[in-house]
Amino acid sequence: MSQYVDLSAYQGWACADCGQPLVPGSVDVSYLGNSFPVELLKCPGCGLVFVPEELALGKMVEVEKALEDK
Amino acid sequence: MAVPLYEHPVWESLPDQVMRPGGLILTERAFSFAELASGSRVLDLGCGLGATLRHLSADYGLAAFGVDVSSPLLGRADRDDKVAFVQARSEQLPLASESIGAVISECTLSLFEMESALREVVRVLKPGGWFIVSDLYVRNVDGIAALRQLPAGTSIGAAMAQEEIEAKIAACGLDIVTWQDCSEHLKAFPFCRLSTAAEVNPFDLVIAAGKAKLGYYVMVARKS
Repeated sequence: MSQYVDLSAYQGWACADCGQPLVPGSVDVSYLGNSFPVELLKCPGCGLVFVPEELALGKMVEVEKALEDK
Repeated sequence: MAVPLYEHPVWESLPDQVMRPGGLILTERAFSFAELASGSRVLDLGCGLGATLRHLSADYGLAAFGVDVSSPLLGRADRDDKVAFVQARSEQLPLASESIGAVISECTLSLFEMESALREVVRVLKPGGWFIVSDLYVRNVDGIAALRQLPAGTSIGAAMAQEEIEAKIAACGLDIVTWQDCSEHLKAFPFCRLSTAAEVNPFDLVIAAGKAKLGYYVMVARKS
């Protein structure tokens, strides 16, 4: 399980382009020049990354607000 | 955390083993304010792997001494005959009073018991000696609470506001010569690579740093 989001909840998801099952892997998240690695599901074939909605609308929004001083 | 962050092997993967933002560029900027004759004795508080010591010795001809509390770090430091390492706390320096021309503290001051460390800095500096500091600081005090919630043991969670730092420096009898904001150097520093080593959620690290408007400064002060 990732420490940022419960990846096990997305077990069985496959890449929309390749059809291969997504696997956990390190992904570099970058925003406004700040970059850091997180573990997310991605396609072992084409590298497409799956960002769960709860992460996109949760911590990622918080990061945007903190860095943009909204 | 299994080992303190400053002892984590991740540092040895960074360029020149420099364990702070700005690297030797900011070391040189800070030393441009200090008038030090070749051969002057310089003390590095929290010298880590000794990158600054080797630089000051090789490029400035200074007699460089370093203290660090970490035995593992000192054990991994590259040694040469011209620099000296001692395991000691910066709050209790094993050095004679008024024996040092300049003391440097790079990204370490906020990790110390600051009043005790500053008392020791003033004690070991010769009259007219220089105290050179670079460290993280908070530019939005409303965000300090978020920083304090990060795990202890890093400069990030202990960063203070400029006014508080300057007050502590002045209270120990040092005159501040210059304070420069160098926050642009934070972007190039791989904080978030360190987050894994520090067992900090990188999202929480970025959020806390953003709320506090975490910055980086160089300050040069002088003993009267």
